[in-house]
Amino acid sequence: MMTQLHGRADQLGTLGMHLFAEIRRMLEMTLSILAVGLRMKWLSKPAVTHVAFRQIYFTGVQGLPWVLLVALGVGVLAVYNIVDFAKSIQDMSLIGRLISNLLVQEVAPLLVTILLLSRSGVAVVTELGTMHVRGEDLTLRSMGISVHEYLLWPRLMAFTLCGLILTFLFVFASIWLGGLLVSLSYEINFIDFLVEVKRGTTFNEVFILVLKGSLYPMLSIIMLLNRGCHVGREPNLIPVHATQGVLGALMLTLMSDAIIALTQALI
Amino acid sequence: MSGTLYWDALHLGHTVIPASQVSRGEYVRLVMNFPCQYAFMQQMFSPCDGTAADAWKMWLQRDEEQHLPGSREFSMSVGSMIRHRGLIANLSLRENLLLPFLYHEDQQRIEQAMDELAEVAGTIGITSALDEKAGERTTFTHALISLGRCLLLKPVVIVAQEVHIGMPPEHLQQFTEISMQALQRLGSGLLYLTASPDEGSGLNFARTLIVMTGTQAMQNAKGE
Repeated sequence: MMTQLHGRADQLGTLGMHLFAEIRRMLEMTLSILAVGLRMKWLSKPAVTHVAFRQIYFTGVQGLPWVLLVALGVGVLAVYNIVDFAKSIQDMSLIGRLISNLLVQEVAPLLVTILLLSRSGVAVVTELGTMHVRGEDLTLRSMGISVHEYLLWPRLMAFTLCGLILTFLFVFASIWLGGLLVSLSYEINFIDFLVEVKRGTTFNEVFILVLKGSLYPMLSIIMLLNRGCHVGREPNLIPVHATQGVLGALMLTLMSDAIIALTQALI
Repeated sequence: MSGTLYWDALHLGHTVIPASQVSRGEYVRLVMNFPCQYAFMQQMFSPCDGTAADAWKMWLQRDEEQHLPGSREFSMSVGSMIRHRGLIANLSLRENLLLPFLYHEDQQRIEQAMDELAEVAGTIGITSALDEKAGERTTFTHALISLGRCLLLKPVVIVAQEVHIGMPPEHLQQFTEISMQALQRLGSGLLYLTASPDEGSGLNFARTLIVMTGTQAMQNAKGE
């Protein structure tokens, strides 16, 4: 009995230490990436700007149709149900508040992060992992090229920037397209709908949208980069790290969402 | 352009890689097993600020100036040819050749390198494949691209790691001829890391340092 208990305690301790080491490694990596990125020297290096443009194109431009498609579907469903609910209790002022609280603050940042993760998450870990397996990190360092600046910063910057922009586009598309389609078949005027949405949106909500829209993609990409950089020399470990990276990023996003919600409730 | 690459003795467990140096035009061979070669390269290409007291140090001495690994001057003056590590797979061969310039240099120097690229590509025989994506390539192509990069960089010293190993005989002969011509043209120093003194490069080494695992290094001052 005591041996079993000790065994469990040992497992728990090991798990805790691994978790702590992982968090520390991620923090150190993030700080070094931000240090090289925010120094802005990369702007004068065509090799790095080329990678940055490619990452923005891959994450943002190629992801845009998917985001708009999902925004249309979610927008129609959300607006239809919210308008229906507001009409049923005869309080149209709820439309703006509900859209702001549900669609703008919660659904949009979360869905865009999930879309980015499913489209680009696996690609990021796989690409970095393959580069490590091929020994391209040594090739880069032999040319005096910083792996943080050339490989990691463009991905971090593109994922965060595109995440924020796509979140805003998601919000606009879902509200406009959803409102437009619902107004065609429902008893609400499109202009009245927009007025209600505007009335229900405050600066605080926009701030939360900016915060979540940039924080979730940023946390996700940090997790993905961390996994991609630790594949080692074993090619068969790439899928394992890709799965761990995407799931870890998802968990990190949900935990951050819970923390922000708790903080909002306490304030 | 003169210069000398120096390094301190590197302790890897019980193995000691002795302190030594390679000057421009001098060919030095360092014989040690693959883990030691890899560890040496890892240390060599790690950015170093020289502040840590116990840190292993490698530096390039040019005139009165010392350049440390990771600095622009060091990277543009020390070329590298690592076995099967000459390419970045998702770049084209052209981008692979120009990569150090695109990262370290200004527009004027990049344009100069672009002008020289056609001649270098002709020398190493990849003119028609310049715009192809690198992807998976043979050891021969990795070696050619590394050599092409060195031809563009015109480094003081080239560090080569078993670039001649693992090539089929016809490619080995072709590469040996091209690399000998290139080295003569460049006049650079060469530090050749290899596991065996019969590495197949056909070069005349001024010195051979043999690193014995667990014992002190032996130095063969006579060379070839």
